Amino acid sequence: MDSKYYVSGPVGPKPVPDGMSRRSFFSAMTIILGGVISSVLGFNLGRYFISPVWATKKENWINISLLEKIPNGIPTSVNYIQRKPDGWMANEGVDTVWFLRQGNKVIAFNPKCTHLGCPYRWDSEKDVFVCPCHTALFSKTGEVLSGPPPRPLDRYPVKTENGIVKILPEPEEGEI
Amino acid sequence: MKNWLDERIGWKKIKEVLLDRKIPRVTSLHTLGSICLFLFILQVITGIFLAMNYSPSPDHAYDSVRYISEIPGGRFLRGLHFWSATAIVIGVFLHMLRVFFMGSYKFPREATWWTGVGLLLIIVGGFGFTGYLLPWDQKAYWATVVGLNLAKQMPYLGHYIAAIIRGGSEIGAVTLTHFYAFHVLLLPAITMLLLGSHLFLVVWHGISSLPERTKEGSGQLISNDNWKQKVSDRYHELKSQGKPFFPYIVYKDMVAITFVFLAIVWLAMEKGVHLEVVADPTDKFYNPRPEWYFLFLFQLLKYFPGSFEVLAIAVIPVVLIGFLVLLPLIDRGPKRHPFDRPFITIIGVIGLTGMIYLGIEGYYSPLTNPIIEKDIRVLDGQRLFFENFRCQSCHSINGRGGVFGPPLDTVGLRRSKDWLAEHFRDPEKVSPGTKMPNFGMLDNEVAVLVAYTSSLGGGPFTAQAPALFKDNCSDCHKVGDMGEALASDLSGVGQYREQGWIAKYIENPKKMDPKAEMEGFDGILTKEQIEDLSRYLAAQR
Repeated sequence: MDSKYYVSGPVGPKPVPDGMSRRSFFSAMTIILGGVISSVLGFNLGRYFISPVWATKKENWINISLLEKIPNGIPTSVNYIQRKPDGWMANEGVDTVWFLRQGNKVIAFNPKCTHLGCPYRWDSEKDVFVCPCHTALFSKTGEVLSGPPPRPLDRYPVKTENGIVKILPEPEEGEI
Repeated sequence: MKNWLDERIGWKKIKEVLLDRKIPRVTSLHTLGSICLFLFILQVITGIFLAMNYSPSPDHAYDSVRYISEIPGGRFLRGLHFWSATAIVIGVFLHMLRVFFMGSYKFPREATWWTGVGLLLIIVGGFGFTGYLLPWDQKAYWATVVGLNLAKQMPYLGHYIAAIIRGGSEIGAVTLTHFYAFHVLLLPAITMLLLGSHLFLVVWHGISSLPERTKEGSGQLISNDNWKQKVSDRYHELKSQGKPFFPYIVYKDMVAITFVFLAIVWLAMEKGVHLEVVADPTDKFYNPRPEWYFLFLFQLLKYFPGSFEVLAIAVIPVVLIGFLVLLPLIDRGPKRHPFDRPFITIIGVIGLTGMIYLGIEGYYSPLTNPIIEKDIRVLDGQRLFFENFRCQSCHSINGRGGVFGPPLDTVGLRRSKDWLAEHFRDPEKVSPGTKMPNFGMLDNEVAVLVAYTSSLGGGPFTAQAPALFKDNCSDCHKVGDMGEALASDLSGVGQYREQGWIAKYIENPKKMDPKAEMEGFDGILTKEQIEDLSRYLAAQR
């Protein structure tokens, strides 16, 4: 093959218009194939990355106490051990809950103030829950009496089975 | 827009130098380099996302890898990472063969070749070895044991090298963090440097043209003092006849990359990644085998007894790597076609054939130990039992453990799975007045503990089972004091064989082991009897 033949020509062996259309076809195909790969990868990386958004928490009812051991009519805090899944591990930690028993009915309060999450206590002389941070006051049933909290005390789902009080301590919406 | 870009970043110049540059005529084999680049990027991307849910600690590594598989898309990402790692090993090797046989490492591309050899060693040796340990399963652990012991046997410095890589006094927490840091920080940084230089040189010199026989094209170059100039002139001549890099060459690369990507996607979805049971340094029945691309080295070691082993471990690899490094200095001059430099071509063919032969030999070499299938859930339960809840403080198994609670040797025979599950969730409910505390176990913990405890005792067998053994098996086999040990002693068979396997073996031994001398009992004993007997044997621990 005489290579000089090609060298002398100003353009390649193909005429220009055809070459242009081939060129744009190849450009388009390159972009399409690149797009296919990126979308397969992007879709899977995306759902992996944002999966925590819709991860559902499993209901995990925890046995706290025998019903009869909770004083009637007086708010009482009870410490309990909770075993929680944490990624690939299971963590055990001590948590606390405030109970108010009225006969067979039990209310379980999230132990954090609805304002900024400080731990409140029961003032038995004044019959109110007192939050130490901004001196918010809550009634026995959790209603805001004074101070900045935006809503009553958060409650945990609670049920009594075979005389044992169980709670579902899921963090309420809006908790810090 | 383009003007705006041009003023800021010099787009026109970049486009001219990178995208519009002419490429001489190339073959499909020239897409291998781009495929490797793509696979490396895929490794980096999937690796970053995997690292978000991985914990490099012996206590957590295995569980976190399994956790990744439970995240939406996690199993797929892990599959992509694993299979593209395999693909990149094939890719860099084939790319090297292409460059080797086409003589593309010759003037002026020697430095490109050296950076390429560096990348080959880092990717296959560095990433492969360090990434292997991270899942912390049996395969990971034993591959690292073997790898470190090989390093140790290198003369003079072996012990020091092994100690540095291992970090601690044995393979453990420090080894894992070392390997993790190598795998995700150090090696990627080195790779980026080498890869950057490699790619720069590829653009700087241009992609090498196809080799030409000496009679044609470069024929007049032989024994000419001025050959470098002529090679350069010929290259520019071929280059000027070529096509612009974008879109013609990029398109070709992209088609090849798409095929490779789809193959990896298919493998990731269909085959997934196998995770063996968690690393167990006490296992006596494991068959450590290297990944297939190290099989040739594995097989090589078998031919060098005792004091000669240093040949296989140090001398041969050093010679091989030295050959690759020195190649552009040994094989110089303008001749690039494989037929024009028969000596180098023959060395290449012999080396390649040897590797393939050793690899195949290694692949088919028989396993020394029986393959023991283990139920991962049972092992998980066992770990929880002993390590997390420490049930052995109160309960005993095979006479070991506390006496506060009842012994659990045969709890699998006595209690149903439902009973066991209720018992773990709320002991008080099924055994009123029990001293066992409620541990607040999570659902998955209850499930694996049930799997473990119900496996204790090998499943219920009847009172006839020992008699069945005495009548049918005791002439050759032995269990405890019963029978003769002419064939294998089955006293502890339950430790390494599962009941299902034993049942199949009794039915038809040849099916499970072609070399078995035992006759099958299919037809001699009823299905129920075989089942009963297998449960009895599985209970022998």
